[in-house]
Amino acid sequence: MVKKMKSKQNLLSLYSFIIYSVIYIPIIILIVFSFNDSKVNAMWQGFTFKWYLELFDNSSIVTAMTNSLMVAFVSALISTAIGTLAAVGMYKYKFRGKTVLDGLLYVPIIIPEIVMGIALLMFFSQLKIPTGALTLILAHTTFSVSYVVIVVRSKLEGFDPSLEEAAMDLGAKPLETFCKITLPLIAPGILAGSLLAFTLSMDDVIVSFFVSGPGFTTLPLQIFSMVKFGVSPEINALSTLMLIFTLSIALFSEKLRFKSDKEEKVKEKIIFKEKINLKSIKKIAALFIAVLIIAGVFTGCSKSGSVAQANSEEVLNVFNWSEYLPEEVIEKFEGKYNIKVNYTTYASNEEMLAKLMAGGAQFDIAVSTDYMVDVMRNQNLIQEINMANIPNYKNIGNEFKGLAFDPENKYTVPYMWGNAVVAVNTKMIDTEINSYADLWDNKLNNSMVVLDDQRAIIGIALKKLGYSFNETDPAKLEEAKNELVKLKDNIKIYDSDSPKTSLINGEAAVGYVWGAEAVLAQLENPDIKVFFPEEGLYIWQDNFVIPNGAPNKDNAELFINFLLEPEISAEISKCFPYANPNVEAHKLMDAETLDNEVIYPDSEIIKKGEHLRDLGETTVIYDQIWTELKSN
Amino acid sequence: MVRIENVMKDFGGQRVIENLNLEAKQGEFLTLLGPSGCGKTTTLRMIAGFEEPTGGKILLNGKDVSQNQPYERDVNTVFQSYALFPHMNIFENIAFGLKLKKLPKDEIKKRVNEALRLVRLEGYEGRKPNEISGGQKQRVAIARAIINNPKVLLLDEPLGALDMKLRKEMQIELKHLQQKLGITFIYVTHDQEEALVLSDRIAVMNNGKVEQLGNPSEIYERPKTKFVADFIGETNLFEGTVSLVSENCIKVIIEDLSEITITDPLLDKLSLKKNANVYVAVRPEKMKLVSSAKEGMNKIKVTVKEKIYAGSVNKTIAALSKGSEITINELTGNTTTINDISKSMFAQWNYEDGVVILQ
Repeated sequence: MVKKMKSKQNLLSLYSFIIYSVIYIPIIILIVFSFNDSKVNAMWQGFTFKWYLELFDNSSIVTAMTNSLMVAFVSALISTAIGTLAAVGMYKYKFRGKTVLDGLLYVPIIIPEIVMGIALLMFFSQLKIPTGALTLILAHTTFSVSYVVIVVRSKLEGFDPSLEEAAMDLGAKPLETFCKITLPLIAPGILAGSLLAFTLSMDDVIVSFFVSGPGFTTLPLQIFSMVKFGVSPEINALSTLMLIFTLSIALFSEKLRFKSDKEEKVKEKIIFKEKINLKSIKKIAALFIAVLIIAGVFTGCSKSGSVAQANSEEVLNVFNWSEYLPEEVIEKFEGKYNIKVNYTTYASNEEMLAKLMAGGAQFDIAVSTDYMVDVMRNQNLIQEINMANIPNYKNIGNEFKGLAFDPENKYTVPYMWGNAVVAVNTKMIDTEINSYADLWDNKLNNSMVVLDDQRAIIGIALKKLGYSFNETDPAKLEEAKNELVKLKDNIKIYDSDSPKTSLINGEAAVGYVWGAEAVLAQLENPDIKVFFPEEGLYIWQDNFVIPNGAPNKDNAELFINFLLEPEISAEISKCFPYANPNVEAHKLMDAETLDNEVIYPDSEIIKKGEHLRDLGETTVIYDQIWTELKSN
Repeated sequence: MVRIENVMKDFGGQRVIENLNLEAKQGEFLTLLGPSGCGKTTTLRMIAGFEEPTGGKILLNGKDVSQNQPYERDVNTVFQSYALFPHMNIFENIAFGLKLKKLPKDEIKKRVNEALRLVRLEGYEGRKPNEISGGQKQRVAIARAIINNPKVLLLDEPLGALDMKLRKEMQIELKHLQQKLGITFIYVTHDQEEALVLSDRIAVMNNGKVEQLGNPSEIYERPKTKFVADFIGETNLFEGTVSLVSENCIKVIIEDLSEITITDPLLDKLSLKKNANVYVAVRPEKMKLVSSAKEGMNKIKVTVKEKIYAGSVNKTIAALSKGSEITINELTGNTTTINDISKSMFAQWNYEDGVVILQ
């Protein structure tokens, strides 16, 4: 019997151990790697604090952080005031339709965040409220109010209504009763509610994504757009800091609630305790509020300063991929033309499209990849560029002009381009891979990392069969699907964000990855060799476009022209390892960079390559193939 | 002191108080007694000002206060849940009313200490309400309520949460306190024994109406309605018709056709007519169980059903021939303890121990 119980207990503790491991090990890994002295997340190289220090040198992160604090503070303040009044009102008064109103108060909690985000964005754009700090505060207040109501009400549930009556009976007027009795008693609930609202606002991504505007981003959005280009140790460090911050707030508010609950429960026990509880809570709360007010005033001042600046100057709202343009370049432009640049970033073409379609944010420039240009043009989202204002357009190499997505060069100006190549760890695999077909070799069983990108992967099957990356014939796509089923056994990892990691740490022997990633992997691991499949490369090209209704079109053209200056363009290339189509800039760039044939392949290879096009209806078939491939 | 004139109260279209008239005199201990839902607490809350009457007037010292807010009335309340402010210590709780009046600090201190002495809680001023016992909380609640020297103190089942022994002690304490302070107490309870012990007068309430108003012995000895007879203490109620009305007595024929004689000197014989339907109420302790009936007393034939030992009394449940049951309480020691279950016996009582209640 005892034995049986013991084994049962052991089983139970093993089970608990597993559950807790699953929950916490990933977080622990994140924290550990934030101290890793290597740019790559894969291997432990030694202990360092440098990522934390770098964080505070990165002005875009610091700005995002102060933005987040300001939005969180103001929205928490407003939602706490509204939520507390709502909770007290609902608790105290009976009126017709109360049940309905009461229910409606809680609905924002169950509305899918994405629906709420889109709805708010549409609402703001209908009211012509430009997205930015104001819309973020309004949106965060909107969803926080419900949570504040819940927390304050739970405190009120245990509140004896005769306490208020007793106070009135003893001569207290309604306001005195509220301030001297009700408020102090529900104060822990109010504080807990406001802390909850604060953390909710600090953590929110989805709603913020829709309602943030040009030049005003929050910390989670900043992290989110950085992550798309691989998880760097800086992000680990930033995530660790956020974790500690929100955790301590949550712990603090829980402690408050627990403490005051306990206070109520210790009845009949006669203990001589000094009045520590409420007094100390009051002190801590005062301290906390003071810190928040200082932070709020600080950020508020810096904000209002920049707003004032914006009013007196010309403005330009740029919408670009994150990690794609050095800050110094923007500063140079601002200095030269006295135009204030509001710089906002995104992490995918689809994200950009969504925001432009919603119409809330009025951007002057966006950067769009080849196939997305088709989409945007078909949706009438972009307008013709006045090339007369961009004399530097002549600096762009001819092979990058007149491409299928813009044959007459009316809508786009090329920015950067790149490709996808095959990378092989020659220590692990000794065969050469000269074609996509070689990837089907069963020697490569369970050893490949490939892009998590349906067009790229279905594309290589099509190329193997001799078709195009942009094939639309269902029969040919069916053939490609059958090929992919065979390829599946060789694929170990799908990763678009940082495929270099698994190549460097040897998790994968072969990769079908972005050219720039392959170059970075080579730097870390010289055993990695790059191949260009003979069927032809997948080539992408990012282009400047000007959205319809851009309020500062002239400034946008000025900006594009500025970025095409050879010196500026070369400076950009120094920071980001993508191929530059600006041939005049090449003259100012390192020979070493230009000689890297992975980034700048021979023109023969480029000619054989293909750009992606928008496939219209056929996209559905691609989606189906992709879903089937990834699910079985 | 307090006058309630034609007061009505509706809750959500339902009338809970109907045309209530009641007066509490200076220094009187008046109890509102009744089952839950009878309107006694609502009446108290209307006097305190927590509820507004739908109709009628409430006069305090001759002044209509019906429309005044609770903080504008010279009455204070002791709540059933005590309603001590949990975030204040005992001193702050008691001082609350005085602080609102912005009295000087040393006067507040003096008066709070006086109140603490009155309720015998010196030395407890620094504690929090959750650090003292139920009985002590009760005393704090009283001290807090009387600190403003109200003309009337309202008490809403103040002893309801205490255990039996403590409740009995507090009853006596309350009574003494009321005598010492000399202010009017209006006390709400559903405990009839408590009402009998404490009150100068009792208003028995039922369905929003006062069924009977009188001093404790009137209420107990001479219930005017079936409800009062039933609600206060134990009662055997016989339904019957008047068979004779004479100068000295009336006679009533009950269900088993036996005739009961009542010689109640206070009975208003003029209102009774022959063949009128009435109840006769007889307290169980006035009855005796005998095997052979004496003359000159009421007797009915019963069959013994059950005997229950209840400490000070032996309870006998016995059935009349038609089946309805009565209870007989006899002091222990005075009765023979023979087993008379199922035996046919007589229940006997004096002519003057029955009370006639009109139907």
